[in-house]
Amino acid sequence: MTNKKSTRIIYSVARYAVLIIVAFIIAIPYVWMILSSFREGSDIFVKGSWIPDVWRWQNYPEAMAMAPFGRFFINSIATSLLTVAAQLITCPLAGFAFAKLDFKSKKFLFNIFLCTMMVPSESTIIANYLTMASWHMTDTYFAIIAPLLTSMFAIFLLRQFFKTIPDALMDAAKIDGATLMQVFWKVVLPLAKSALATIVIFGFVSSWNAYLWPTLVTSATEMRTVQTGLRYMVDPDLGSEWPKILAASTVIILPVMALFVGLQKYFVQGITKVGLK
Amino acid sequence: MDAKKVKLLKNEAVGIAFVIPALIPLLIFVIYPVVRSIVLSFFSYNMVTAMKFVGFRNYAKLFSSPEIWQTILRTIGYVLVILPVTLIGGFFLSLLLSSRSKSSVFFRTLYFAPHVTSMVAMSSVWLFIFHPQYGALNMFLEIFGVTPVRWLNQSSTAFWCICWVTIWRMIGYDTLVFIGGIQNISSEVLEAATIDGATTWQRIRHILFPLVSPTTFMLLILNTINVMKMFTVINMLTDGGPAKSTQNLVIMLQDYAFNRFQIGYASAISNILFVLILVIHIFQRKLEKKVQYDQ
Repeated sequence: MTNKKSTRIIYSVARYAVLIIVAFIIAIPYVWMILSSFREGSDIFVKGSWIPDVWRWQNYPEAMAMAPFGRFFINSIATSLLTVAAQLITCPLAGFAFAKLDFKSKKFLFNIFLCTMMVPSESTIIANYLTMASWHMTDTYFAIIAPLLTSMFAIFLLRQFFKTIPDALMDAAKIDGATLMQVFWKVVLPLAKSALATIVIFGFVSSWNAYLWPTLVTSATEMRTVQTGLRYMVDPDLGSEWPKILAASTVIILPVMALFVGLQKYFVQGITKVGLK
Repeated sequence: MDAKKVKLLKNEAVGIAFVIPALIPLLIFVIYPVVRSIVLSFFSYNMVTAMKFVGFRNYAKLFSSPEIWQTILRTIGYVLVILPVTLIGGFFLSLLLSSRSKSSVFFRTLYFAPHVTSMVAMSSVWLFIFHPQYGALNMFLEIFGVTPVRWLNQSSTAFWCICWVTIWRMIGYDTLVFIGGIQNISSEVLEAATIDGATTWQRIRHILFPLVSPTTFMLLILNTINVMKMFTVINMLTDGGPAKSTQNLVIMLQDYAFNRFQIGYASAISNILFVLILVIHIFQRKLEKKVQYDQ
């Protein structure tokens, strides 16, 4: 009996030891980023302490002044919100059709959608860039959000969700004289609130963090998003400007971090539900 | 009879109307680019002068250059190094975190954070950690008397740094998905095994592991594809250098297309990436069907 108890204690201690070590490794870059973002520029060359000698809050406003970050933020917020809006139009409709409507070409269309999931967006950047150039649309918000206008992840998630809504519920509304659009709008969507929240969050985060495509399709400084803007600031030879880069990095991840900490449940739901089909 | 036909037609129209807002962007920005990039790969084009048909010359040039083979090997190399660590590590961590206690939720949230935070921002932090002169890593190693290492400037270490940052980013995601998989297993099965006197290791080896194998398989495919497509970390840390030793296919195609304006040649590279990932998807489909028949 005591033997069993001591095994349990050993297990518990070992478990926490492993978890805390991993937590430490994961957290170090964040801790270091935040601490160093308050350092004096010249302090960065001084070896030793992690804690800044002087806490230099001015790094933050100064970092934001190094580039038109105000404008970058407006661009990032606008394109992320536009992405979310576009996905809220395109994805629930398609997800609903594939889950609940009966029509002949459904299977064919669904297969087309499935096939598009096999195309890595990285292999389409050249052709998409040429499309945008030929439309004279580079350096526009539309160009930045174009590849994210719809999301197979979101369509799948919603389709899974809509499938769980009983047909009887929809039929009842139809008998009461509601049109299909009314059923969709007033019965189906309100039930899907948490699934919709998940796709809003994922849409926002993926648009906020997008890097390769927005960099390619914007050349004017005033059209850059925060990610592209930060990229142009980073240079290993910057030396004493480093604390400001780290301040800018902190500011850039802040909105997503806030969403993540506040709405964790939806992130987890998105990851585990779609993964498991 | 006629009324029935009208109804069918109406259903068809309604169904298509619901799907079309999503279908149009997919056609323009996913399907058309696939076709166009196949066409482009048979031309020589620099975005300024007119396109010139060159047949298979882009591919001939590509496959006879050592660069593409080195790049394909590197692309696969990243998968071979990163996947075992994130999958085994993720599975192991999920075993420790599958309870619904508060501490489990805290740890899994923390582990997952790198997956959602901007890789441009976090790579610039890592860039600084790896900095030869005043980076945190060399400062730390100096305590043990290690002479400063130029982590990202030499091919022997740059590749491993990129692997490390990617593992750091991915392991929490794998952990979370495994937790989902484990929580889907009915607790009755596990309890029955405990009653039968199975040890913890036996339970993991003979019950838990086989039962989460669909999750493992799905993660294997997903991680492979994601690692093959990775761009931001490499672009930020080394941009493929030194001497292209960390270059994968995405870095290479981006370089040829947007720095050298060899659009046809770069399209051939993107088609290789596309085909490699397509093969993985087809392999997945085949295997999934097989698994289903077995059951």
